[in-house]
Amino acid sequence: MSLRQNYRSKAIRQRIFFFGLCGILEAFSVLLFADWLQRTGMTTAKWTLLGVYSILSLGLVFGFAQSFFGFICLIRGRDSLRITRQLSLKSQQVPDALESRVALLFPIYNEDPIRFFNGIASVYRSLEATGLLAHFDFFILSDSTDPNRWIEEEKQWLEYTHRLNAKGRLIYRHRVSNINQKSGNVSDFCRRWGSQYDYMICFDADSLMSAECILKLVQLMDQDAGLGIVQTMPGLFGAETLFARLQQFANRIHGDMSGAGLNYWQQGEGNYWGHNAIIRLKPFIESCALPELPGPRPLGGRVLSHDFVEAALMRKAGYEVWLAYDIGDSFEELPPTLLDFLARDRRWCQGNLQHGWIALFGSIPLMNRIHMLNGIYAYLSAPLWLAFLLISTLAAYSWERSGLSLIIRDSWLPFSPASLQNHGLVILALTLGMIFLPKIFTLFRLVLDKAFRAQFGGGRRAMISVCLEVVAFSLLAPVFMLFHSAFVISILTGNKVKWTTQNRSNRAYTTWAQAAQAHLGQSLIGILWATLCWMIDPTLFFWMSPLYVGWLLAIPASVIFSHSEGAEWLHERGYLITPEIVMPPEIIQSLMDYQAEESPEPRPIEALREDFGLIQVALDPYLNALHLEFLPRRKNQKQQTTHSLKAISQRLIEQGAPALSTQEKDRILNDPYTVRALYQEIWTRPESELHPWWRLAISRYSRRSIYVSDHNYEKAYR
Amino acid sequence: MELYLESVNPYPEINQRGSDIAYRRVDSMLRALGLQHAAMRGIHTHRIITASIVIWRNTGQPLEAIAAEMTLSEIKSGLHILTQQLTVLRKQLTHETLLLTLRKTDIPNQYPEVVLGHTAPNEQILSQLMTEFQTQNMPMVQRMSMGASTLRFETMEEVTSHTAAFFHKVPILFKLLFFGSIVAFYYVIYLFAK
Repeated sequence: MSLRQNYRSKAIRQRIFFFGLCGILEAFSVLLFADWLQRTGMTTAKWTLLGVYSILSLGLVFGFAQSFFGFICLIRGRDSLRITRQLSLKSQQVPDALESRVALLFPIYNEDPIRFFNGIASVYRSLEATGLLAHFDFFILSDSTDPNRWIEEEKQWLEYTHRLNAKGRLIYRHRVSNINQKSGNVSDFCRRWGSQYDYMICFDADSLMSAECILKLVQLMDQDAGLGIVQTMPGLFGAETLFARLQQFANRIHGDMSGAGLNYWQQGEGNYWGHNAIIRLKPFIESCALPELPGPRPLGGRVLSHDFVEAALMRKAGYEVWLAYDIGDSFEELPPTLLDFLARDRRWCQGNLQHGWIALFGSIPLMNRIHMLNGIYAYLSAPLWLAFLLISTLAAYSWERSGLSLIIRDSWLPFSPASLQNHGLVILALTLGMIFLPKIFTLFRLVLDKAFRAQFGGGRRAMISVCLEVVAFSLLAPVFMLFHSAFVISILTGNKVKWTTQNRSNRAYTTWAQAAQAHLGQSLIGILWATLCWMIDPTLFFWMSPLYVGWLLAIPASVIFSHSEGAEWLHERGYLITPEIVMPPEIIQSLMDYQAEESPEPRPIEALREDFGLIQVALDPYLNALHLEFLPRRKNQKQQTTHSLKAISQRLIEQGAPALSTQEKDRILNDPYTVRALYQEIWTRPESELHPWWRLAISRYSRRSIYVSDHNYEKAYR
Repeated sequence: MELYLESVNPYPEINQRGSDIAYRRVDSMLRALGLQHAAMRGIHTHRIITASIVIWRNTGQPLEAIAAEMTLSEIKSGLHILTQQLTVLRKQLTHETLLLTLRKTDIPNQYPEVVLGHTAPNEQILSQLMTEFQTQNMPMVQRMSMGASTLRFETMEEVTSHTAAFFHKVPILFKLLFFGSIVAFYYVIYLFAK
């Protein structure tokens, strides 16, 4: 299907280099390790260690090879097989005209509507400035179940439609039932409107893409009908806490290399990450329906991480999936604290483990199988590493207790060091080399590329920042290992995960109580492990120290990293600087400008805050009308349903909104007859028949007084 | 000079608390409608309360309920007149759509008598409404199927069904497998401990 058939021979050659290097390194490291083990006699424990090490080193080798080839591509400055180069995409030029129609999808699930719409407004203005806005429609696809968020979304949609003069270009849809979460949300769009567009670009609630980035993606798709998905490499931005800033720095300074390396071997058989990507709609609709996975949940049933599967299905349909790592101005935010990050990881862990069904038993292209296995490895490696370290420690303990003398045999391999100790050190150096050499590559880039180091605050500061980042994540790595191990075990033993709203706000920090609750177990494990190692051998105690030090310091690290003071202190001294901080791109600056605007309405008073959405629908004629406009007209409603809704409505009026559950409020808000009747009922009820809560709401209701906060009373009545 | 204070209650037939509640109710409704000018809002509220008292005298219903019904009725009639006029000019609007259009304008604040149905809208108001009128321009919905998944798990289905059938035939094997796992687990621990 692709017009660029001539690239295939080059792509195959690159893959041979890549997988060849992986094979050589894997064979080398496994043989070296096996040789080391056999020199002191093979036991059951050592065979187990060898088996586990073989799997673990495969992951290390793969990651290292990716960084290595990425580094080579960037240093040479010419990656002729990247998709933007193949299709001769002009880097600076905005096209004069487009032929295609594109839908920009903005799914939302109980996220902050203000931040969400500010992001959309930034993208809208950016596209408007190009003069090509007519080719784009913005779809806000809401799955929100929190009534307050839902009504606020509708209100903000109205406000921003007026503000942007969007004239029917900004479309809002709320799903009654969020079946299949995000993938179901997108599928619903495809069913309703998909046939009217050529492509869609999916955003996350915290995603940003500039007009230039979007137009480049559209140009790529227009030029080659064989492209199914083009994924950008989102850069992280907006980090304020120390944890988030470290992540952002690592992402930005190593991200290019990682992307170039990934593209090096995957080429047109790449992956999709669920957002910040453009998708050709026709094949997506025809071929990318998600399967129902066999077996019970959590591993069976509906696919949680849909993106990898959709990429595999797109490839199966014969379309290419590319990573356009060199198209900039694609961004996303990140969880601000370690605990928020881990909460997201728990969800991703289940989604990735589910892919096991497809990777092992589904008929998909080989490269997509490798992507899925990579994703599974990212989480499965944690319990494997834990098992490896545990078995090593227990084996050492068992050996010490035995009191036997060590008889060292000759090595099999001619290149193995003669001394057993040196042999062990070589293996350690090889392992650590594969882990840390990618960081050294980045340091080389900083030395060789002046423009690159300027983006990160200058050479010396950038290098120190890299070291800081390495130390910080080395400290956190054991924490991740234990958490991921717990996730894997809990999922494999049948515990499901719920799709919860991600905390994208930088304002929530981890308290000492929260950190203690989350990490106390790890600290205890750290104490036990350290004690065991000391009892075995002080040398082992030293070698294992990076492991248990991470666990012992988990509680203070979790708290300290969740605050922004550390990040600010480093920032003032020029460390952990990223290009978005040095010179914020226009799209980020636009978002910051919107975010900095003072809200025209102060917060509702506390007694009414939790059900403010419901109050607005019940009392405000305009928001009542707006909400009714969005609700589908229901025909032939069952009598039972009508009676049930009437009963809930009566309870709402007589006992106030706090007496209802979220589901009951949702039911009321989903029924147009009840919503219309509620407006009439509340206003015309005699005071004596109204619950005090409603009396308070009505007495304070106005566009200003309902918002009066306890501290801003005078300001509102100035 | 003699000073005498007149009663501050403009509705002497009804107790102050009752009229207060009704007044605040209507005031809130008009404020919600967008009538921000306090004096104008007061005039209309007073008018509605005074008219409601007549009904209150005859029916004995709570004054605030009567006043609220009257207010809603006036708003509804005002919207009805507007929709009829706009239908004549261009196209049919629902009350909801009209309200959303009104919200964008200052008409409820500048011309409350139009929104409350006391005065017919003039050309300027109608023209302003038509200019502001925008439907939520939903692209035409053409429902279509997302297709069925092209991914199959024949191998796994075969394996699971055969395995399940096998264990069903020989249930003792399932028990042996379970106890065998426990024995293997303790054996591994024993190996490391020895």
